[in-house]
Amino acid sequence: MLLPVIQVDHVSHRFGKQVVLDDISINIPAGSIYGFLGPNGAGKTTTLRLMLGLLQKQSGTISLFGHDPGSDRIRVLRQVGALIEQPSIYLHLTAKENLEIFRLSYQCERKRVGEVLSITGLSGTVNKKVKAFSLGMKQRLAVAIALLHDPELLILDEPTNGLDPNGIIETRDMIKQLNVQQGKTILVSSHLLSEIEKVVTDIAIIHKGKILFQGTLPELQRARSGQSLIEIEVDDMEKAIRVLTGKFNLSIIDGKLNISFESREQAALINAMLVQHQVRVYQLSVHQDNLENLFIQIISG
Amino acid sequence: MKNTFLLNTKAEFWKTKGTTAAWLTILSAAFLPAINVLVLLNRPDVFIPKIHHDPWLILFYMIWKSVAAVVLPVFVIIINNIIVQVEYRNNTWKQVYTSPRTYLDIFFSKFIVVHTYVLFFFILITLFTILAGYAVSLFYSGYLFSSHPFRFNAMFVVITRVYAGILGVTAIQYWLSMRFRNFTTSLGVGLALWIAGLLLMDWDKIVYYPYMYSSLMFFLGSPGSKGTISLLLMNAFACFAMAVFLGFRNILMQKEKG
Repeated sequence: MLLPVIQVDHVSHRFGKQVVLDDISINIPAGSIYGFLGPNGAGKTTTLRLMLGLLQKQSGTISLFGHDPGSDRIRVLRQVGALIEQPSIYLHLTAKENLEIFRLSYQCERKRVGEVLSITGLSGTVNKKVKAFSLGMKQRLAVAIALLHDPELLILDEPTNGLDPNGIIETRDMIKQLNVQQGKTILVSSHLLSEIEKVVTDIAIIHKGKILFQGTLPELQRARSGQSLIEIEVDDMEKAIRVLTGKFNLSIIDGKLNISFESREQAALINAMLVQHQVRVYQLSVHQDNLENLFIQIISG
Repeated sequence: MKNTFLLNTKAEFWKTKGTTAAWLTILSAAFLPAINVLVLLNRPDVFIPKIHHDPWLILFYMIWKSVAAVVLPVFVIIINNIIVQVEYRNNTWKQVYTSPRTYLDIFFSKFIVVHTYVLFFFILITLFTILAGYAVSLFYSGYLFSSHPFRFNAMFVVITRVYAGILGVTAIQYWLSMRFRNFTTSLGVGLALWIAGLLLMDWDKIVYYPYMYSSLMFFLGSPGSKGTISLLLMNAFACFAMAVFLGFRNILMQKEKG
């Protein structure tokens, strides 16, 4: 078990009377791509803002690399690169000028500007005013700024928001690359479920300020595997029921047999039993839950 | 630490590149010298005899009476807005606050940029005053600017006093601009306070009203002027120190940053 880079322990937060975070605890392991998943308004950005010290903590403890971002802010921020909501960039300046401004603050070498432009695929646009950039390019420039000081941890809040399909794929590839090639721990929040499942190693699901699940992606899929079904279409339904009754939990939906999925071997066994008893199998398919389905199941209780 | 602050101040200057800050400074500084050139060229019959004994100092006073009372306070209100709004407009406060910079550094590096623009304004207006003097001499030889020494020392004393007078307004406007996302709030409050000061000019307690200090400093010693140099300097510095302290404390204590 890798040591957690971020530890959030029993954190609650409210804006006025509205409870935004309700006693949440999260551990983000080093080297992971950690998906922070939840619908809009679930409390994702508030959590990330608290981690970065942009919001004053009200209760609980937060630690990044073992330090409190409130009291040890500078030490923590030296190791963190962040992109919170929309890209934070100076539109009246060029990409290079934007990076130079933050390079001065981070006090890193000038060659880093070229390096991060290359990592984010913006090398050809250094002298173009940022206001002429597409949203995808702005997003990549914001990531370049977050990478300038070569931080160990990247916090990316909805990095694919508003991007076209190409931009989404590029961002996803960039996240994977940063994790695999540069060993960065990446916390990425999103409400785009189909995107997050393709990139994360670990996941937390937040809904209405509460953490509903936390663990690895396979753990989440295992936890809900009982929800996956084998759907079978046969020529003789009555005979099929006789063959399978007592051995499996059956149900009939829309003229098809439905059996709770346990394993691929189980699916093969069912098929063999039916064929052995001269039942013609027209179709046998496993409806496995993807994360999107799981997410909907989890948040709807 | 010192080096970090200097680098961040340099970064703050970069942020104003391509904004209207530089043009506002140049145009504000050029405005009154240009108007006075037109006045002097239009009525040489009146002004040649009027200013012949000390042309530089009289031209300086003609320009600066309006600078100290009107142009400078309005310039300070607007330049604060432009410089601080760069962050709000580009949604960059959160990036600034998640950079490894102390709150002290973030607050004061930008404040130094504001003051540099104010000092740049003073330098430019002095240069434009010189240009104005020589320009009118070219058209009317009766204007004796070329044959009189430039009264730098006398001007410097007055400009320094006016700068001391405007310090409080720079700090209050900087605070307002940092505090409110909507630029019309700081702009509106600033202009309202300045206009209120103009209306209250005859009030005996006007020496405690910071938006009029630059004007009071300029007119010190003139008939009907209010306060003494020591009282006005003390009030100006006290107001500046208090506004900087309260402004920084207020920004520091904000529960939500960026």
